[in-house]
Amino acid sequence: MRFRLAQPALARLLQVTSRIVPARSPLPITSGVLLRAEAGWLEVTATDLEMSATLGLPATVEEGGEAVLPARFLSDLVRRAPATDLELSTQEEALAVRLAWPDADFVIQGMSPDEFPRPAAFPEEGPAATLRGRDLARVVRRTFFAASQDQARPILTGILLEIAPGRITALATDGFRIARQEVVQESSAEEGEQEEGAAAIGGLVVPARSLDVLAGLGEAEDEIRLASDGNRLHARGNAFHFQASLLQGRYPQVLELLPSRFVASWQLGREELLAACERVSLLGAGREQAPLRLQFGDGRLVVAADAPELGRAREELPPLEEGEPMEIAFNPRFWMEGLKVLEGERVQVEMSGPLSAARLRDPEDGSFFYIVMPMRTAG
Amino acid sequence: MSIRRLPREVAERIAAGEVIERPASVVKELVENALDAGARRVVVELEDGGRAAIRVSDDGRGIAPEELPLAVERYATSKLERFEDLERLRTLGFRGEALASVAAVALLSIESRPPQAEAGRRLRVRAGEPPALEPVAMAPGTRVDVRDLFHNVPARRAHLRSARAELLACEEVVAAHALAHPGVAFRLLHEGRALLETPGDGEMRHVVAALWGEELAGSLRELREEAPGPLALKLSGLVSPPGLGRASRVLERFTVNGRPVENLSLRMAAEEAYRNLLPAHRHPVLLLALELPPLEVDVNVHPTKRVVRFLHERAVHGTVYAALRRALGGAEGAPPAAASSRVRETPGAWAWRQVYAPLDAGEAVAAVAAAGEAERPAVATPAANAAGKEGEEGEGDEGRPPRLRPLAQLHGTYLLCLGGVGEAESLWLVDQHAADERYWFERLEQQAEGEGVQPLVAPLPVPLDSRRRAAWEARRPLLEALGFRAEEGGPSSLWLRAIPAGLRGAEALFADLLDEEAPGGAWEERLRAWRARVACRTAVRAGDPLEPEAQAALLARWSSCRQPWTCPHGRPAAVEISRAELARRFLRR
Repeated sequence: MRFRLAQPALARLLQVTSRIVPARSPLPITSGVLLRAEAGWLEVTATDLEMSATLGLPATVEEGGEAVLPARFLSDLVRRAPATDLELSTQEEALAVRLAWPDADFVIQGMSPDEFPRPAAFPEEGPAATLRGRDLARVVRRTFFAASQDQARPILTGILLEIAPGRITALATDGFRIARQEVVQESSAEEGEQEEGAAAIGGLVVPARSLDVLAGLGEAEDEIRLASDGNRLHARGNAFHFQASLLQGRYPQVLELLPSRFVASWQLGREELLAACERVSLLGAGREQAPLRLQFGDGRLVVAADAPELGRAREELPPLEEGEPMEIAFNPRFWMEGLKVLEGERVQVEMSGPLSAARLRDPEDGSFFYIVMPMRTAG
Repeated sequence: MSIRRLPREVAERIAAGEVIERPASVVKELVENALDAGARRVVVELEDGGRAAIRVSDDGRGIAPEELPLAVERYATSKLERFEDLERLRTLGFRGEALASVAAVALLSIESRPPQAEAGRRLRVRAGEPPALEPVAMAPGTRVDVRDLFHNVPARRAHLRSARAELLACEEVVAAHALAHPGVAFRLLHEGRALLETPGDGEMRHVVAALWGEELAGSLRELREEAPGPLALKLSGLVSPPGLGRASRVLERFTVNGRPVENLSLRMAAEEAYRNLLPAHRHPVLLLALELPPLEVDVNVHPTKRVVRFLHERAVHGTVYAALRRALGGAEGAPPAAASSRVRETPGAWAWRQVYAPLDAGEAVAAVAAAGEAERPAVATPAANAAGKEGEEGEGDEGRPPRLRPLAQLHGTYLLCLGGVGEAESLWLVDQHAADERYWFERLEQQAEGEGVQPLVAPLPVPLDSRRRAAWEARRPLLEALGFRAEEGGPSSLWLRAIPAGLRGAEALFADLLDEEAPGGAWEERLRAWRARVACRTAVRAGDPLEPEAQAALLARWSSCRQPWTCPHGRPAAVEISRAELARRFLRR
């Protein structure tokens, strides 16, 4: 293997792929990245066994071949190299690779490419869907935070993806709140052919972490093709191929059990509300047991918290639209993460009781909602 | 056989048996007499484990020559005049039986010289013979010589144990009194060899050092409290910090008004105070002196006065418990401000010393402030300041650990950290599971019942069989107090609707709490046991790999704990390797 590539391009490739490289792994080879040069094209692959990403770039390839080099080291070295053409070539010594630019010469001991776990091929048969990179990124980014981190219920560490022609929905819940984002693709259906390959891919549960990586990889892509072989989600763009193991199991039907009607609906300035909540909840920082108490009524919202030994806090906010009175309390983190992920000026807070789910949404944007369970505070 | 009055001599021998059972009883009676005489020095000399000879000398106020013969008469005492005096009694003895009892079963000689007298007098007593009095040259004080114990009671004599065993019992008596009277210098000699010697400088810590070594003495915390109110209970002593325990209760000792005593309710108070701070089957080291008005204590329960009763048993129990919790930095408040005299650290202690707050807490706060980080909750400051005052000795006391900077994770279980600044900088090992378990335990403990209940967006099904159903019905109040809410969803399942806020793996845990054997005991006790169980399940496990951020987060929440030094089962959560420790290991000094 021998190829040349400009430093900035190679640095970016390595930086993106090394995000996947696990900090520690039962399989040492996965601490490396696989370089594969072939006919004017270089591919870099990294995997943590749950997902893998392959990124490609045009390169001046003099001799095709493969090598596995330590990911962190290679990435660090290339990032610090001068912005010039870098040449990488395999050496006589087993598995060693020479990285050189004018005035510099590094020989790096590599690992055996035969041991590197190869990603499965993109399933050309079966249902597939095409969507824009930024739409995929959006649904992932707006639900990612609500996925569970508790390995006790692995299925909840994933994001539920429903892909239908012209529409993608993501839903995540950790059992205490739900975030759901839908994106309707701007119609590209004028080109009748595209509809042909577009199929519904329903009920994929993809680890949130994997989807986060995918969102980063594909954000800039105009078109990402998604497919599933039942065990993995595959995504392919112009210059990358990504795959992630799916979480197996039945995703709970969380939306079915929610109140169909909310009795109290208030509208508030989102940023003011968030700022007030952040100040008030500072009191219990680091202690989630200090719930944030909200009292809606009398033409105002009172946000309050008290933490034994620390003190008490209270702020008042005028609503933009008033609803039925309600007293309710939330885990401050769950509550504020919802306010943060919303983007509009206003937030609609809908409640049906101090112990029933509340809903947050942007009154001007129906594509997203956030459901959060209150906390019981006493009695 | 007709009934007849026993000859006086026989009656005395029988009565003596109640008081004098073995050499140790003689030692006890004589030492108490010496203490009652205001002695500053007490020397106990034994031969053949006390079976051949016991001699107790003191520098007390002595006995006037004309009173000497009275001293050995039964029910003759200088300590009491009227029955009512019993209620004001401050002396250890009062029945006037001791010397008479000894005289009844041994050869007794008493030499005594009051300070104002020019010479001493010796009184020799043989059972059944009139006492003989003669002058003797001696220093002021009293010396009592007891020989051939039970020479006239062969049955007793036959029951004496080996010299070694009897010696041990005598030693125990002297030690107990030395502890009860740190201001008196005690010396115990066996066949001319000194076995025990206390300085008598009023420092209990020095007594402990003399009895059980300086390492133990140096590790104990000082406790000093005066309970306000009618009880007027003064409490002082030394107690082991959380995590330092013994396999037996031998070092749980109480004295009441200078008298070593046994009292179940004191013992219970102690064990309760240390619950969750010591591993199972470990016991604290506890040397507690109680002082309270004589009226509050009944010492006349048992001939040996070893057992006492309190008039307000519950109040004493409660006061002792609360004081101990405070001293241990427990939930009942800030640690007491008590300066402690420091005992030299035993050099060459290779073992990594378990720490109880190695750093001047004031410095730690300053360091945190300097770093501009607010990771330590504000609540740490007052406690830390209080601790700072007494932390001058570097030995440190109560309080919380310094802010620790994680360096690495060892065996997937221990966090290697740097803590402290400057001189106090040291290496720490934190057991990630124990530390996190402590955090969760306190968090569950702090939340009021019914609070911190987190309802779920969708109920979780928990399969129910008949055993589980019975368990659910029986344990429901306990589970609800922990924060679980569930309802029956048909014949074979339960819907879990809410869980304790912040819990991991709540579903499986809930099922386990139904399946496992239920803890016994009182409500509070059961709740505590289950909190510990929930904490154990929720905490980061040993072997869980932790990223640096997760390590830092764990350390931050742990350091906000009130009792950070042990997990709820009492295992240590952190070990410090101090600068001095390292210097020793590298032979730098």
